Amino acid sequence: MNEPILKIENLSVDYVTGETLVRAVDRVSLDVKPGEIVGLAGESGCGKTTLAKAILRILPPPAIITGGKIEYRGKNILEINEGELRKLRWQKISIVFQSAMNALNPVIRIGEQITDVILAHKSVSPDEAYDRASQLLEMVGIHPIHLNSYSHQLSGGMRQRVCIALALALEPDIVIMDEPTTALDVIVEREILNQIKDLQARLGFSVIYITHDLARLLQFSHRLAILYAAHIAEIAPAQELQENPLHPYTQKLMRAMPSLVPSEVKPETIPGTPPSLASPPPGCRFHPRCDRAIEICQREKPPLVEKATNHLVACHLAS
Amino acid sequence: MRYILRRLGFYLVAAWAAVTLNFFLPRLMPGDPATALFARFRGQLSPEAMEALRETFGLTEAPLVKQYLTYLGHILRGDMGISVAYFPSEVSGVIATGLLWTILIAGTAVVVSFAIGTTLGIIAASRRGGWLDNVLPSVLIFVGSFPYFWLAMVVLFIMGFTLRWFPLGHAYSDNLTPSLSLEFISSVLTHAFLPVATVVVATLGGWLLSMRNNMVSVLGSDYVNLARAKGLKPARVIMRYAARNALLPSVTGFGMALGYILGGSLLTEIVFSYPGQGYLLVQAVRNQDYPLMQGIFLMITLAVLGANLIIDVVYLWLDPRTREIGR
Repeated sequence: MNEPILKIENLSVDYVTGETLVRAVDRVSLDVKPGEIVGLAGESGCGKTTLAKAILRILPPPAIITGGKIEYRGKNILEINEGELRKLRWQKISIVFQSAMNALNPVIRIGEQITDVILAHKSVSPDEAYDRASQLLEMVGIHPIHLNSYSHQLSGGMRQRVCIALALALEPDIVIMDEPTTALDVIVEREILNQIKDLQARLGFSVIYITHDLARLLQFSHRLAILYAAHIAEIAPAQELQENPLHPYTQKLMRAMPSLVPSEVKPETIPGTPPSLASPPPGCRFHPRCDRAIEICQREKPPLVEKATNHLVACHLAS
Repeated sequence: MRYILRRLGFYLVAAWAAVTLNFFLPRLMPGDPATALFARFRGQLSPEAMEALRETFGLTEAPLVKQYLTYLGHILRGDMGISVAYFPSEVSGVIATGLLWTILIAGTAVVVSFAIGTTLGIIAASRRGGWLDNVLPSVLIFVGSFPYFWLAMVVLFIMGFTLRWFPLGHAYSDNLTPSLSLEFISSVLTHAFLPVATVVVATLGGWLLSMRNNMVSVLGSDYVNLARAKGLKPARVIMRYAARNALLPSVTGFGMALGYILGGSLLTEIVFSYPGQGYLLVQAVRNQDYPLMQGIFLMITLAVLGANLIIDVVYLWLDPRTREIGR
């Protein structure tokens, strides 16, 4: 594939708590190419959502970006002024939040929430914006009559579809999806995922898809990044990762997935709990839970190195 | 619509309960207005006149039930009897003038305080950690913590007595007769300024703080964050997405404040000798003027109920979620 459209380099985000800093994203680097679906997987609290919000610079206080670059088409998002940032938001990069329940304003009609973003970025008349909004709803399979509805009048699945329609309103280059199906049951989830895939194939936007559901990501995305305790553990194309996981954490995640076909192999659990980011373990952050940890793992943070084409891993054992 | 009717029904029952209590309470107390009035005339009234007075006040020998029904009939016609303190004026007339002045000062004070406090709350929250957010709430809460009458008297002493910037009392200059002339209106305004200003200053902090806190929590919500991510103008994010929602709890407070206007302006009117409802109430108590007291209490109750009804309706309009529950 061609040049990356989004380049995240050594990005660090800290949460300021009193005197101390808690690093939620630690020197993370990740590329997104045009038309690519990049999966971002990790346990709760590993920094997935923080990373997503950092890209649009919508991190709520007390989170601050403390280092690195986020380049969109060669321009560092972290350095542009408010006006440029406003133009970039939604027009180039949009986001679908984890909970559609809370992402839609309860006292503003759905229609206005879609048209206002169109009117803010495009020089069109309110009528044209309204027509566009009805098309968008139709595109995700919702009757345009719901432009006059409030979010509480829609079901959870419909709300999430509205959020997806909203994210595609300006045909952005990149759509960040932060666990868009968490609150939905599996059937609705499947429908929505198929819809996202369809739309993606048709419109050609890139997706950064964030979830803790590794099985889903393996079939859904082109490339996956595994995040563990604010660090990238492994990045590889989906198939490569499935067949040849190199990081012990990834391997354990794979073994933790239940199999669809009846088999003798029982899913395994990973012992222990994710470390506190306020006082992370020294060296490799996974070593306290890794049964193959060697002496160096306790001392040195393993660098992220390319082991095979496009397959990067941060593990002392792999090198 | 059905929701509004149901609320209306509820308020009618509440109003009836208030009216009934209003009837029985004075009758449980010792003394009656006719005797009080009789005493005021120092024996210059004949026993027949005394009987006639009792008749006017509805304190007949008739059974309680009959008295009650007569009373209900009178109330429905807006007839609340004859005042003792302002004998022989009718209670409804006395209350009407007092009501007007109270609504003028207390109503203005509540509306102005709500508007300024809420606006400041929005600004403080949207510039969280700025000087406005750091200094203003504590200063206003400090000022608001003084006993109101003390604060009002200090202001009256300095601005009215020492500096002579404002009149010391009453609703307008004694040498004017009420008219729509510029002179009269400006006199009313200068007389109303201190009472309104002191109430505004004393209550501003509460409005500011509650709006600021609502705003802070709404600003942290996903939908506001999404509005930011949408690249909307900051003003639109703050006003349409955040303030619009943060306003809802404040509106409830505003409704309650509106309801307490009549009962709450007692201290203001005493300090500024302002001829409103509170001032009348003091007069009524001093003169054992039961009809007037009853009338005022009734007005206070009806004001609270009326304000609640208005807020119920406004809420339907402000928050679409309440419309569903109503159906």
